[in-house]
Amino acid sequence: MKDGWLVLLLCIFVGVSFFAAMMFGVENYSLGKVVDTLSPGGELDRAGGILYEIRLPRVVAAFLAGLMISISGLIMQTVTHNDLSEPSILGVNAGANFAIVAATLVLPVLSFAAMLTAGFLGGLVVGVIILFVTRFRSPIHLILAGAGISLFLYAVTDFLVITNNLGQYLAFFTSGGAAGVSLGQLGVIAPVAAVVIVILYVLSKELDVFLFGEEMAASLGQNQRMYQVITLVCAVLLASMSVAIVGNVVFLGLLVPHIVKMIAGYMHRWTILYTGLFGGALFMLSDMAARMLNETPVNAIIAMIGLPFFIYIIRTRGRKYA
Amino acid sequence: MTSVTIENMDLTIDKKDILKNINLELMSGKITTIIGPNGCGKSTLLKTVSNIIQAGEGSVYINDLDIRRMKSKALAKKVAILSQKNRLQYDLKVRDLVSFSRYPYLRRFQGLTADDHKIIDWALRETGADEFSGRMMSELSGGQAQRVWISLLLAQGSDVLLLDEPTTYLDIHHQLETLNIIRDLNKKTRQTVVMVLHDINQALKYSDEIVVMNRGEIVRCGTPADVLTNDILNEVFNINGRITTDPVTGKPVLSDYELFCRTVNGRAL
Ligand SMILES: Nc1ncnc2c1ncn2[C@@H]1O[C@H](COP(=O)(O)OP(=O)(O)O)[C@@H](O)[C@H]1O
Ligand SMILES: [Mg+2]
Repeated sequence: MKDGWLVLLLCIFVGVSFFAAMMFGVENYSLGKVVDTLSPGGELDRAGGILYEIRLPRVVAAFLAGLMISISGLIMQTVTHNDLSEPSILGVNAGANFAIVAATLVLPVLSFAAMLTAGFLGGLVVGVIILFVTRFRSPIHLILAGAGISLFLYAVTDFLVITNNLGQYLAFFTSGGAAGVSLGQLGVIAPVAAVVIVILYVLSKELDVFLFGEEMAASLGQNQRMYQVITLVCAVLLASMSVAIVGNVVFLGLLVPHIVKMIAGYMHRWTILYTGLFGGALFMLSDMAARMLNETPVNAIIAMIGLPFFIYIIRTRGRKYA
Repeated sequence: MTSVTIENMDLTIDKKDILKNINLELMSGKITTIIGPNGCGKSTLLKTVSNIIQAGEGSVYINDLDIRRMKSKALAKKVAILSQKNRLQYDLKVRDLVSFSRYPYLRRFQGLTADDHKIIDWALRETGADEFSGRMMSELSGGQAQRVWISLLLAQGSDVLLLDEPTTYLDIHHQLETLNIIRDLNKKTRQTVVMVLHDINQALKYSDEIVVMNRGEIVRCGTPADVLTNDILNEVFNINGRITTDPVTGKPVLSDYELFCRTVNGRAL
């Protein structure tokens, strides 16, 4: 079956990306060294220490972040009936980013969990404002409102960062990047992400029904408002957690779901899985490229890889949709 | 048999009266057709019956139960609607699309049952859509796509079928084909059918009852012979017609028609 093969193929892609990301960076290591370090037992030498303490958290963070951003984009596209939705376009990232910076200013020694909570609330508030203003109606309004709020919040955030000399500490938030994440932080995020994804899986049938638009969903007897709220909260949670570890990553949440939908159709029990794996792998590779290119901002890398893809989608999708 | 009664329904959107004091009892097991000029509220009326739009005042009763007091899935099992604009934003395989009609019957963590599949197969066969059930919706002609949409309506297993302009955008052959499918099904399953048509002769030919609407109101309601008068045609459509009786079927037909008074954009010259 096609779907079985795709899962296998994606798992291989994730595996290859993972080991590549572990091997290449500022310093390169052999595959044997990586496998040695990751196998249980044994002493860590200096290189092993770097691999285990610095690179592994970073690679895992990249995978998790890519997965969360992409699934969040997929869900937002479905729920808002808008192919252009994704966390950064809807302003959710800007809200999370602003809330994290503001919370850091108020309470400088913020625990990671508190920072996550602040980010989530910030993202949620912006998401609710946008949906309230646009009432799910027009795709154009959604984009305009999201872009407007994003610009405003980034301006305010920049102001806070500059006036408080937080530049060094918070620079990565705006450029995006998985440096400096600890395994402990990932241990907080991974279980939450897992629960959210399970919830989305349980609701995959409801998400499928959204695809038909409001009227048809209503005529099939779906309680739309309830499921819209639950799934959007899930999407905001994933997006804001990604902001907390890698900052505002643009484009990935748009690109990955579209590529997946073009190849594998629209049924969410599959697209959630594919989008997560593909997005995770792509972000590991982008982060690897960022490391190899002198810590180029990962957003720049994604934009470079993504733009050709995106133009291709724009040029072909008119024929692809019924 | 499912009875549908609309009582004293009023609907105002943005201070505009869209529906005005609608009272209607649908003939169960029969075909009722709503005719009326563009924008007179036909689609809106169908949507209020399936609770997609909530009426401002008044109620819709299904088997004497107010639809506002029914669970949305329970209502979906009773009433199915084919909207006027049933365009898909996403491309799907025909059979996958039709299988969504079983949504009201699904339980969480449970996929389609063997019974669901049987009903889907039956619905596809009834309209002849089984021929292309493996194709993508984007690959179908307008007539084929319409058959799929009707299959979807059938597979929902509801007693009341609402079809909003099922023939619009189809050529004359496919219009008749679609209407024949609807009529034959109605004979077989005794589902209550309500549709909106623009062609008056088709309405006369296929309906047991015709409801004439104008400006949000029901102007006349009765058998084809009752409603087809030049008074109604003048008042509602601003046309004058030659009404004759078909020598073969004995039913009334509109054999020729012309504007009642010459107009441009609805204004008399
Ligand atoms: N969502 C809406 N908001 C405001 N007015 C609407 C809405 N939907 C329909 N209308 C208005 O309601 C009237 C009836 O529309 P409709 O039921 O679609 O007419 P018909 O199907 O008979 O052509 C029209 O005047 C239309 O402009
Ligand atoms: Mg209409």
